[in-house]
Amino acid sequence: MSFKNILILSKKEFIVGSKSFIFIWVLIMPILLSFIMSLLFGTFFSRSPRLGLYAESPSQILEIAEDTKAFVTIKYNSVQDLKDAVSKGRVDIGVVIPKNFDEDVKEGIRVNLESYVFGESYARNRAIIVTVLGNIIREIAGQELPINVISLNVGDETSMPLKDRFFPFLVLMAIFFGGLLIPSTSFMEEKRRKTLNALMTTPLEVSEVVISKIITGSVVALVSAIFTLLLNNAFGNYPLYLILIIILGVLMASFAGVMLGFYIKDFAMLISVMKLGGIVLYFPAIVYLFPQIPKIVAKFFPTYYLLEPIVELTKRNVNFSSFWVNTTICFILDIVLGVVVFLQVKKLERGELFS
Amino acid sequence: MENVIIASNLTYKYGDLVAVDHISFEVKKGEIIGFLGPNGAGKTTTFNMLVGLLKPMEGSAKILGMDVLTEIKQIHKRIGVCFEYTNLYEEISVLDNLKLFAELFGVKDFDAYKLLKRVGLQGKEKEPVLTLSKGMKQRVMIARALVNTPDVLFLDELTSGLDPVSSEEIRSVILEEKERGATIFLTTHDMYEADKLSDKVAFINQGRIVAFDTPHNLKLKFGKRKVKVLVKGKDESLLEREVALDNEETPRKIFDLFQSETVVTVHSEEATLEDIFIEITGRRLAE
Repeated sequence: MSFKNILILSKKEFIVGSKSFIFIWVLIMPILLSFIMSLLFGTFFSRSPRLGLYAESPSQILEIAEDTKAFVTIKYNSVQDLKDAVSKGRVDIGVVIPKNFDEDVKEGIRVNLESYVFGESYARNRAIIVTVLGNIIREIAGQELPINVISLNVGDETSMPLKDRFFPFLVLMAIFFGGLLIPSTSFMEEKRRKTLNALMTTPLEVSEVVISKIITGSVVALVSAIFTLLLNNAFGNYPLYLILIIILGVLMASFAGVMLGFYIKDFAMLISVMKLGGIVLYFPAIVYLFPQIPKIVAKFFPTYYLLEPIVELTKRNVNFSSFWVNTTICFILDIVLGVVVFLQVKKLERGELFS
Repeated sequence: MENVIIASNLTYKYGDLVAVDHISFEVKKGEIIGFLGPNGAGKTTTFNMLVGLLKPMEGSAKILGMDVLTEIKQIHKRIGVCFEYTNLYEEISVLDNLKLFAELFGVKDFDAYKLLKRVGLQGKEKEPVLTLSKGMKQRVMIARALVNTPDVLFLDELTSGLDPVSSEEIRSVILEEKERGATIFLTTHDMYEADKLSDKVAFINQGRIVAFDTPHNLKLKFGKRKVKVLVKGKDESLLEREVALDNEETPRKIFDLFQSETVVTVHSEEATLEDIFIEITGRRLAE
């Protein structure tokens, strides 16, 4: 096997593929859906609340505010800088912390805080900042809240916002649109137009052709998935783990894609198979979308073991014990599919699919 | 002279249908062999077995001394293949198609412009293949088969469906390749093409080679010379009369014609490969 040949063929796949509707469609579709979802549920235009702070003398507020996850804190070096930032909408609220603020509040002296508010900021953002800032000041003053708030979840994921429930579907689509459709349609077209025969009468090995298609599908799906995560602000705290899982996912999709490509004769047949196979691929995402369906059902579908670690990493606190179990199962599924593809390549090399 | 292609008892079946039935032949270095037969005779199946797209079910074949079953990738480095159907990457340019295959063959200092000039496609380098006419696409196919300066060229129905000018230009490229020393395996159902290009012709019918020799020898062996006479009919229309030569009755028949009818023209004709094919198989090439 020659890596040079694989590179030449991969380049050809990108050049020829980029001129096809399918290629552009699989790249744009998940991104477009992310845009639509974000527009519908307001992710793009409702960013995290942002607080600007300028302290005339050192204050604990700066450190505590920076540690909070409720809003983003940006420090400024002068009142003028703070005012400019507020007037341009870089922060929702700008607060000037006066001299000896910490000492004064600890002694119970009533202090006036000068604050500037960006007129176009969301009321929600202002409310979050004011509430959390009030709690921080109480903490510095050594005062405890006179109440305990007890939160009880009603149901499980039913309480998740629709956008969050739709997110697994978007990720799965980004991975499987590119990963599955590009190798399968490319192989199908090469067979239909008999360009595969031309390639097979050069010194190329069948495995080189197959690997180049797997690479192309995987790269396009990876790019599409990363864009989807970026657009949904869902990279979480472990981006490298996330990319590792996505690589396992795009390989799974591309292996399945070339397998389809071996046998599928035309686009109509591909669509029929995708309709039937789609339920197997997307059922775990449907379970996230409709949490009334018992989650255990999703475990019977292979893509669950790809989706669950992704959702763990992006949307929740990570439970690493279940994360590694699911990731290992996903890896094993990749190995099994890889072996099946390898056996098919051997079959192709014996010329059985050409007859 | 060494044998470049040796086929021994090559056999291939599609289910119960025997497409190629134990055929054997040899082609010497620098020769053009024309595989002549009607559609479905087994020409393309033989072609596909020789270029490694089908595995022979029985028998064996050697090209350049290498076995098609075990050394096909070594063989591929030294052969050029031109298919009956257009199988180019149509979305990309003529130049990119050729460059892709030159890279796959590992050709250094590949001059696509020179090659395209040879096949009459200068100025078309940057055009996407899908904008070209069928004749032009066929020329790109020929150019692609020549990117690695092959020792053996396999050409399947080379000029099928092309206009006479394109066909003639492509034939002249093939004769240039022969001049260079390439061995050429050509399948066709065009007896004119086979006659004009081939050093040897194999008649293939129902999967079997029924005759294999030079066109000249085949004509001598199977052909019947004749005289074609055009005579004027009663209503001034022209009528055609044929008189077989090499026959005891010939002088008398010609004498009778001249005596009884108004002879306009007389032409002597030798048998065509088509006539011989019909005589041997009872089938026409165009079937």
